[in-house]
Amino acid sequence: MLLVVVLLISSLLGAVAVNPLDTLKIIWGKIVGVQFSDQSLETIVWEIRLPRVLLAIVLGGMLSLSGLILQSTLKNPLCDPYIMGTSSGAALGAAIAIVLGGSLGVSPLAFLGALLVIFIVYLFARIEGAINPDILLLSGISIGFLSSAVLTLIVLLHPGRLKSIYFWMLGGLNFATWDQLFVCSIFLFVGIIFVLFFARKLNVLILGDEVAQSLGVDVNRVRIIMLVIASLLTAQAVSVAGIIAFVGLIVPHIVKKIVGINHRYTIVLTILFGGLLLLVSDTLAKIIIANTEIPVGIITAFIGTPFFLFLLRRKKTLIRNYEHNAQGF
Amino acid sequence: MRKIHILIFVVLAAFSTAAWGGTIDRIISITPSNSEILFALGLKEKIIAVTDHCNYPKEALLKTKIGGVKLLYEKIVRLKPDLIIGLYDAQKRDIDQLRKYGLNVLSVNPHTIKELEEAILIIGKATDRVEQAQKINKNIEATIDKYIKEKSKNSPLVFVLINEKPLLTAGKKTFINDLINIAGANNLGAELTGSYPAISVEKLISANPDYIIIPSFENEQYQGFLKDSRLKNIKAIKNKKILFINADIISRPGPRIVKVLEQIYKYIWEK
Repeated sequence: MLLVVVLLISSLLGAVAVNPLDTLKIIWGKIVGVQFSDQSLETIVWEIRLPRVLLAIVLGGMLSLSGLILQSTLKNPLCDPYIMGTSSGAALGAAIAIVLGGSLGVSPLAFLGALLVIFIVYLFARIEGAINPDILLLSGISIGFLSSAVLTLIVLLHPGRLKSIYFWMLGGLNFATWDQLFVCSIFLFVGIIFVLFFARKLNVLILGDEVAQSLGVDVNRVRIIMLVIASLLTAQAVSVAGIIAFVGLIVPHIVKKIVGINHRYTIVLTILFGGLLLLVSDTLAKIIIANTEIPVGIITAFIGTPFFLFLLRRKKTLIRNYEHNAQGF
Repeated sequence: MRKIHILIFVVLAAFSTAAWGGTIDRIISITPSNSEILFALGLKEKIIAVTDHCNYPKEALLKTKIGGVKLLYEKIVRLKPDLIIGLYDAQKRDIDQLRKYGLNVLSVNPHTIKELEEAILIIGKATDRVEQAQKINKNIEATIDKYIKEKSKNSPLVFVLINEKPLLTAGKKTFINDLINIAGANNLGAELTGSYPAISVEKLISANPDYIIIPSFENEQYQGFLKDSRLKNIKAIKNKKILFINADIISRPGPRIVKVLEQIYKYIWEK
């Protein structure tokens, strides 16, 4: 509900003032196929603003869901979507596309870079057919460092592109289009289906590998499937909007603090809350300084940190159903 | 490769303006260099907006602003431009995005003086200012003719300081390299790989340049570099042959860039 209200408000805000009535007319007109009298306003509302606010929600959901999956499957509260070197891999791909220029798309190469890094990390972490979470995290971090080093080398050889590469890494939603929204929505939808399907098993996984094993859960299989889902979500998100820090790390924690860790509820709430946080942040990023747009990551950190710290100090969950968790699966 | 790029741009430029039909009356520049070219073409009245960074000529400061590093797409669309001019290498994503909104975007991508002249002509053609463009190019060529010097065995060696920490210089495919060569000097950075390569202190000392050129913005002192005790025996520093040039001018492929040639030539040969 809150999300819908914020969505409506966000659709009305931007660098150009469009009055609410016109906004509604344009959207209605697009649906029933009537052209609005002022074409530039139509483009602003329909081609720029709407895809962007919707993409903010979807991306926020993707990153948060990916963070939640990783924290649960790897049983490490510090996991964020980029923990396995995804961001460095994507940044490297993007930098190569930016430096080579021409027809090479930045997004596709970022996506490939992210997937390549994750794949290498998996190869290292796979020991006798099982994924070892510790090795996965450590090799993720070290491969991440390696790709950062290559990235630095590229930047040093092409300082002229430094600005483009830097701003790509800061992330942002200003390149939002309907096509991207469509692709991202499919990723998120498929992700949700899979995670909901495995929700019960994820709950068990938190209790420890042995317990899960004894309850008949194929720990390794669940882990691999979940990691693949999380990686695909992150790779797609990062290729569209660069590196948006923080959302994927804190949203799952915030939600767990509020409702506990039964994955059936947490998944839905994490996605909604992640979408809300990114939408609010992106809207503020557009309007907080007149005639300037600031990177959205700055805002997510400013809003997220105080709220997160406040929750960390509270001992109990806001809504008490944490205790039912063990019986809930 | 670059030649092909230019060719593509010429074709694209011709195509996009042809497709547009009618006259061009509302131009937005999304790059400082292109703003300078547009003003030089005498399009003062037709430029409706520029970026936050466009500070030359002074009139540019009075124009509506459409953002800086991040362009405000909503504002650009609202201003209903019939032509937007950008710089391809630096703004590929912005250009693609603006085209998705159905806007008429022309992009240029010069890396040398010759390519700059082509770019000015392309913009001139798109805005119906061909004569003016040819005039600007004639001026550029006249300045070059005036300050060109044949190189000899004794041509001085110039080091361009782009950045102190890390130490960066200007390599082959840069305007400053072009200008140094036209002025009859050698650019130390030209031997290195890349357009703005890193250089070691050892290399700098052993090359022992006669002149140091520093593109700088206002109030930049570079005291750390100039007072570095390791460098005190370099000819340029010992003899105080340090030339500061306007970083805005040299970093923007615009009509003013040959002014730097005059500055370099006079500093080396007339002082």
